[in-house]
Amino acid sequence: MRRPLGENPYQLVVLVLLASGLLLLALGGYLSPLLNTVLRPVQGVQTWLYDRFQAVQDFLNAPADIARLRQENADLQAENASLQTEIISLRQQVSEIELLSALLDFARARPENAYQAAEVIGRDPSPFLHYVMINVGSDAGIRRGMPVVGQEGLVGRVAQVTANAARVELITDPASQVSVRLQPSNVDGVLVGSITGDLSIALIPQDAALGAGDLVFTSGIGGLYPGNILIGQVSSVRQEAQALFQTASVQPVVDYTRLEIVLVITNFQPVDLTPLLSPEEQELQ
Amino acid sequence: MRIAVGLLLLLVAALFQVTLMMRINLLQGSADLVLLVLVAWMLRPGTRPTWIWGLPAGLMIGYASALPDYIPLIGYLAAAGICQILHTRIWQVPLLTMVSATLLGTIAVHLTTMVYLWLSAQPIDPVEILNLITIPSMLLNLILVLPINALIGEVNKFLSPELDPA
Repeated sequence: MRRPLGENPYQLVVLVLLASGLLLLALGGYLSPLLNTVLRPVQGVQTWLYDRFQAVQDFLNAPADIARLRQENADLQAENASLQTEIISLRQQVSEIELLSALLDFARARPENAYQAAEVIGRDPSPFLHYVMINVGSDAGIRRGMPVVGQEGLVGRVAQVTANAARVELITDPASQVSVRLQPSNVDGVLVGSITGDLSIALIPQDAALGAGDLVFTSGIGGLYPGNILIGQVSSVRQEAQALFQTASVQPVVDYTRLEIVLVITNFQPVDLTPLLSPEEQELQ
Repeated sequence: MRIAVGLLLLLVAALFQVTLMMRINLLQGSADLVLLVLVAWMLRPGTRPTWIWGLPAGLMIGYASALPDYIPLIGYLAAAGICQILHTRIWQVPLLTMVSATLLGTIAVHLTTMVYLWLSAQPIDPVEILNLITIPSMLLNLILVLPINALIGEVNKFLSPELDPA
């Protein structure tokens, strides 16, 4: 009968020596090629089994996952839409704040004037005229003839008023005439609008020295507008030898096609020159 | 009922005209939504194509515009009259009638305004007006003829399905 392993002291010593040898060989890295060779097929089998098991598990759990993902997707889409709306709203608010801030700067630069802010709510339906409608009227103290300014400069004047709205004649309207002064040449002229919306200055004396780039301000002459409100810049000058006056084209500082919020100067009283005019001139007025 | 709906359509068109359409420009021209709705509504089966439709359209635009009230009134009455005449002449081809009425109506409305501006001694250059306002406006109106016609057709179909099967 064979004796159990270990009871023979020689066998035990041999086993210990063998184990120690293997351990030393393993620690020394001499067994790695052998182990790699043996374990590589085992790892391959293990990977294959794990992938298949995972696939089966995914297949079994799929309906629940799809429903959950769909719900999550719908929630995220709703949240995304809500955030997009909020972004648009905030951008609009930022834009409005910037506009109001610019208007406030304009008003602070002229503390002698009282202002009423107004929103542009419509435009004249005729393409031949240049009028806008604003959302304040006589209830807010708006009166006919009051000048209207934007963040950059002169916009026009109130032409017609109702209780809650008013119609503003832009300075680009063909019927509009504004007394202006050019700087630095210090020359006076009359700014007139046109059907196409272009601005030009008429009645500039022939001997006046002006050039492109001169700034155009209201002169205050005539009493329809306060003085020193910026209108634009001279873009070109037309001088004809036979003509009595020069004319100049003006590039306005205000973009009249994008007016959103304007300020009505409420403490300016336009001077009514009608009694001084002849009956024919009154008819033309 | 049809009259009330017609008036409501014109009112909505006038509101859109003042708030939206005047911001969409081609050169200096803009589409005339009121004219388009007026013409499209007059030419629908079931609506009596009479020049009287020009009256509310003209009054609405006259109220909204800085022009004297009678100027748009004359313009839109003329446009409605043209539409009425064309409807009796070329009634077999509604789309052709609509396009012709839109073009002639645009000319009528613009011509009336031009005459007023000329009489009120405002500087006007007819060639400039034609190039920068009238032709671009006609082009925009032509672009909108079909959508407006379809829209008004839907409203008409809703009102009287038996009259407007298209």
